[in-house]
Amino acid sequence: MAKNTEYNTIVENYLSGGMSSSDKLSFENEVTNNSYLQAELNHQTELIKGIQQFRKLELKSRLASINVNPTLIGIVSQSTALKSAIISASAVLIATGAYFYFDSPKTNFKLEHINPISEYKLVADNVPEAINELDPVEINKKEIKPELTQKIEETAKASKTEIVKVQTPDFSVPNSPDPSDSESLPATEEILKNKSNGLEALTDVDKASKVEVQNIIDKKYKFHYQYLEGKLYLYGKFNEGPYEIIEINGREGKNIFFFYQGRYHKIKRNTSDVTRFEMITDLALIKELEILKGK
Amino acid sequence: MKDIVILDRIIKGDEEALDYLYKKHYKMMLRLVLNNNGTEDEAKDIYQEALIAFWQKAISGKLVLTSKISTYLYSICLNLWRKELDKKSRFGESDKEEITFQDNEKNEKIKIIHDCINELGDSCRKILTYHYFDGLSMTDIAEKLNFANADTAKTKKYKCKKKLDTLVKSKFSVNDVLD
Repeated sequence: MAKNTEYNTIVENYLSGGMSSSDKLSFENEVTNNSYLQAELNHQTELIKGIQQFRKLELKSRLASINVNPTLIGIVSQSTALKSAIISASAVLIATGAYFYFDSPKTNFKLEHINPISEYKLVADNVPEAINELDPVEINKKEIKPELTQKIEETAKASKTEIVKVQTPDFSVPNSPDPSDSESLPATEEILKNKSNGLEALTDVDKASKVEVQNIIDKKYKFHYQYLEGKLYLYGKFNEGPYEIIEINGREGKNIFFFYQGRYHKIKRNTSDVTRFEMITDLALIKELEILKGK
Repeated sequence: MKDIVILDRIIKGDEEALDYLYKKHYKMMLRLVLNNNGTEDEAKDIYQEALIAFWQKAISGKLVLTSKISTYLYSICLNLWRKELDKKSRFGESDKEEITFQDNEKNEKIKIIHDCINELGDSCRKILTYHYFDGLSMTDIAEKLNFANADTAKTKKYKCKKKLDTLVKSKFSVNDVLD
């Protein structure tokens, strides 16, 4: 028994390759002379082969149990010819779809000028037939009956109310002197002369009511003014853009404000010197001016 | 799955990677054998043998792959089938009977050993198969089977081998008596 164990260990060592070459040689020599050692060597060799065979069969049976019958997806994914056919068919379908989608005629709309200021007409080409077939829309204008007007007047007579015809203000652009024509513009010295003359030269100004405005192009003064006896001289290129002059009659006299490019400026009374416009920063005042401007 | 990933998994002993390879290249190997006078059963057998040879080589760490796995497997299959065809053509019917007789005796012994291995239990079976077939080191076996260290695995392997040895010898001695 002990010998068997000893042989088992030596053979195990030999078969695992744990022996040196000299030990191996001596072992092989002993095997030829020792039948028990030979039997043990054979037995161990078969045992190891059996273990190896066992593991091989284990793996083989594992592989054999795998289902290798292809599914439809499997066939498609593995077949290159089928893949190419599917890709080609998809490309053809996409190309056909894109052709029909992008080829349809579209209606193009554009605006056509009739009157440069206010009148436009909408025209279109490639108008679908369905729209052309629509009946034209008729606009029925309601005319004011003369009987109604007469009735209003009779009613007014009865109630002793005066009918005031409101005249629409004249919004036509006033004829201001051509700024490029220097001869039509009073020179600065001339204005000063007029001041010293007590403003008798300004006979055209209606002192009671409106402000007369004159625009002066000067190389030196770009955003300035003079206000003398109801006439406002604007120094700068104010003819290029709109402005507003707001007059407010107060207890102490007339207050004039100049509205230009979204900002309010106070115009001081009787400013003989060429004065630069000063922007109003008082929010409350600006708010009031906004209201007045709106009215 | 890329070849490098498959190879890495096989080296770690992942049998599912083997399953994946088997399914992936089955058709190609089947065509090889069928186009060379073989049957589907023979093709399956050859392909399984080839895969197992690949597995053994890869898991031992001795495999140096210089081509695709499919190319490597194809060449193994081709060689195995050629050998099989050669064997078929070389041996006549009478020779086959003699070989069969000798194989029967060997097969009987192997069957006894297999029965004894089954009797060992799961842990012993794995240690012995991983060591003698897969060629895994004691460290790898310890890691795979959750042993404390390589020495523990080595001791366990020695005990399992001894137990198998005893079982087989007892079965042989019984058979000898019965014979």
